[in-house]
Amino acid sequence: MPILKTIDLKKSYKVGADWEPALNGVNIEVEKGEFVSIVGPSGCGKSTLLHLLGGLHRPTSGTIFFDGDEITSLPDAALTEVRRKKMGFVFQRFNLLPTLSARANIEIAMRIRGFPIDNTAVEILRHMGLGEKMHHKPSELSIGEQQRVAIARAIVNRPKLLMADEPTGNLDSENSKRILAEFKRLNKEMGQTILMITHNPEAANIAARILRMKDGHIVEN
Amino acid sequence: MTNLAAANLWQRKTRSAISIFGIAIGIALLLVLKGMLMGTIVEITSRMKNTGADIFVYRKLEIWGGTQGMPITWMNKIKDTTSDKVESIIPIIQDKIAAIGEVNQENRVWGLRGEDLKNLNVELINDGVSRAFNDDQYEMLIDSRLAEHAKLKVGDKVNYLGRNWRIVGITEIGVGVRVYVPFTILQDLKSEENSADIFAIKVKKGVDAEQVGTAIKKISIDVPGKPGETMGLPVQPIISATMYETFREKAGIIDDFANYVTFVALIISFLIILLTMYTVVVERTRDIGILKSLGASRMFIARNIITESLALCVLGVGVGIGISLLAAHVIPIISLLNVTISPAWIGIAAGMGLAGGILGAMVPATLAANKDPVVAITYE
Repeated sequence: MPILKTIDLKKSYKVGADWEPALNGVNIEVEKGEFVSIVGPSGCGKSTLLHLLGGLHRPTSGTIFFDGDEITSLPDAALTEVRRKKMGFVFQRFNLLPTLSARANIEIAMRIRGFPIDNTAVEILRHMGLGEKMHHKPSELSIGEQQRVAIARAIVNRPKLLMADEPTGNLDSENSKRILAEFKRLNKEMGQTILMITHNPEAANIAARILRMKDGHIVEN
Repeated sequence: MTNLAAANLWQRKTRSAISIFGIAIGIALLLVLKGMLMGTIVEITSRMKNTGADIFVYRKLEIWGGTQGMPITWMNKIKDTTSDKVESIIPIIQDKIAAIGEVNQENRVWGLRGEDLKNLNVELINDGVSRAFNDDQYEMLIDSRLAEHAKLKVGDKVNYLGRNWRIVGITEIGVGVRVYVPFTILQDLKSEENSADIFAIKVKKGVDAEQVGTAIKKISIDVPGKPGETMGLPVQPIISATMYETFREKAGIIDDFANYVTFVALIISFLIILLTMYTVVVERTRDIGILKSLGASRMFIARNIITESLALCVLGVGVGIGISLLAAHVIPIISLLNVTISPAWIGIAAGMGLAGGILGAMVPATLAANKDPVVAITYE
């Protein structure tokens, strides 16, 4: 049974008086422990798909099954609960809270998820090679370090699905390699299910499976 | 939660400080104004009580120092009616002096007979030069606090009612008024021949002052110009023991004004917090999106905004109370005003500041909680 499955997923946005389709019936399946990349040109609907899968937006029609449950019809609070307990996000722009230190950024995620505040944040930062910088604020970290903190924050609750939206989009090649290696390690060593959106073919190639999108459709699976 | 709120406040130190200061000013304004009103009433009533008089009789509606005196015949009428209960009745002429020495603040003046100074516990300080005034001289006594603020001493001259008065003595503070002059001279200058503004009554030991007051209210006199017709004596006896309550009642208009200021202070706190937190929410739109992507509930986000607001208010209220207490200490040093800040009003001010903070944060907190996470997270 796949951990993630969509059936005829559609999303349209109102532009002026008209409805512009962003997704035109997407059907995908992701198995537990899989590392899947979604690639495609800008505006093909990759990010829209990720937002729907992550429960950040609701589809216009279609169904999403996640971890055995149909989540499209869940009320807001229940969808938030799913996101809190079972999903992790890594964004292109890292999206760390600027007023908090690296450690506090992870601990606030733990607090939101109802985890006790123990030494986990410190350990995970050390594991990511950021032990010395745990008290630094995002503005005091390099972009590569910021993205590693963002990954640490996303996986601290051991999510069933880690979703990454262009995680290397703002990084130089060396930092990109390091981040991608981290994803690969998480997938291989910890069995982390990862769904990564990218327009970088090199990044996409580290995944076990690549889905190609165009004009709101999956054109290659 | 607390860490995030504290970190956010610390990040914008200047804005946080301005917000705290704004709230503090509102709280201090409220407490000092109320404290000055209370302080004035407490001081007046305590001075009056310290004269040792049990009842002060005023012409009706003239408690705050009216200009229309009461005929001395009324005093005699009171004396005759209550002779078995009253030990002494002291007539007082009351006036005001607009400025004295370096003090440009109005002070009450009492015209007393020299013999009555002691009867009303007006004591001279032991400076070796002070003495009581002569009843037929333009001589004046002032209390030591006024002397200090006005930079006046025995021998100095003071212009009052178009005459030069010589200061002949400095009195102890806390009794009656701050300025005393001879009764008959003030009577002449105010053209209040055969009349007085206050009758201070000392009752005999064991006599209930309330009973004497009631007896005074029952006295009737002939209606002037209408032979055969009588009317109640148009006076108001104020009992020393309940003077504070009476004055509070009489100060109702000022009290109402203080209550309006209280309301304005609440609105100011509310607006400061509303504007601050609204700015915070707009500025942190992206952070709110991040928290939502982490699975933060609407309640978590709203609570975070309210926690920040409450932190600003608690600090603002604390600083405001500090400023007020400092003002209560400094104002009596630099002026003749007294400020009495009661713990109850500190509690009310604190409650209002915090209530304003919570109310002011409600709208921004709701805005934050309802933000679309995708729009928020891509906010520039």
